Amino acid sequence: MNVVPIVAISALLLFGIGLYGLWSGRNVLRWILAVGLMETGINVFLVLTGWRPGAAVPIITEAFSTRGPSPFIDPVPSALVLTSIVIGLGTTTLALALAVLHARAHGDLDCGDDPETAEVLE
Amino acid sequence: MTRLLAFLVCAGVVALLGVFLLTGPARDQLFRGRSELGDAFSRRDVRGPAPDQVGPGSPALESAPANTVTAIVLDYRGFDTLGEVTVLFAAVAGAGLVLFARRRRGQAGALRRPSLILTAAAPWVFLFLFVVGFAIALHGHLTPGGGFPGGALLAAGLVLLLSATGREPSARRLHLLEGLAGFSFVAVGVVGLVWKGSFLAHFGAAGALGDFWSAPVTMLLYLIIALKVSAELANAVRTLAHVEDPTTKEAP
Repeated sequence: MNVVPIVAISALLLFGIGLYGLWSGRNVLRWILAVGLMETGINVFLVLTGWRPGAAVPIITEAFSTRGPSPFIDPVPSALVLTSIVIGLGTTTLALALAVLHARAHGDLDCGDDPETAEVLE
Repeated sequence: MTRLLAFLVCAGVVALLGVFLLTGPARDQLFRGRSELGDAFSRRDVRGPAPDQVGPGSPALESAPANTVTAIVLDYRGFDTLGEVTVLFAAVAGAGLVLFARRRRGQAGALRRPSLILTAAAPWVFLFLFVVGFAIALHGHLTPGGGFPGGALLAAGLVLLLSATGREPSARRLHLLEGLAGFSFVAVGVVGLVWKGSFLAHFGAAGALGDFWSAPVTMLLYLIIALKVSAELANAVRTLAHVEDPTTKEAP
């Protein structure tokens, strides 16, 4: 069975849910969660691009041969996604810190009823 | 009405992306299941004339992590991974800077009293997390995982133990661990530069592919990364855990 369409559509849906969450609310925490969802969708999609039918995890075992077609998935997107996840963690931490700063200044996490922010958003 | 519009636009964007990425030339490019770099890695010339078979036990490879993802992350893109841990450090340091720019002394550090369940279970769970975290980090050249998830487990154990004892994690010790780990990463790179002529070049005997004692530099770097990541994550948790509840203050 070809898993590519199922996983690709799931990744796109994750991205879309994140996009909608980013757009539909004015809550800072919701934005951070939405960006996290979009990130996850993109990561899933990137890993998927390395997939090939019947391929194994890219660890050299008895199945490996330098001749003939490689039995592995392409390891390059996996390595890139590893970096992407770690950077995503860092940006989430910083975003949460900024959310705390916003809450300190305004007493809540809502950007909607704040006139200055609303002006920027409009 | 606005929400409906947002929903429709998002659905449209997803549909367009789907059509663009999953049909036509983009699909052929993206889902070949291989890249030039991946193929070059799979077919690299490891010791002069290509050996008939590379597999478990093959001796004297160029650096010999059996896990090719690790090989890419720490051999071919080792310098990039150094930048990655630097970004992680910058993000955590930035969070600390943003939150405690005007901290009053003695304000932070009032953790809630730990419950009996936490204090009773913490040492055992810590032991488990500690052992598994180091095992994952040290087997990074053989199995999926490596320094980043291993470091995350170590940080979880550290935070658990510290919250069970009810003490504030020592920022100075965490910073010391973090700094030492970062310094060690660069030091390993400089040893490669002096000895083998390029920064982060691998030195020492590569060992046999698939053995635990193979790819010594990869193992060392992943151990350093695990320590650095655990210090950074524990620091991030410490930073965020000691923030007062801002919603109780009234807006200026």
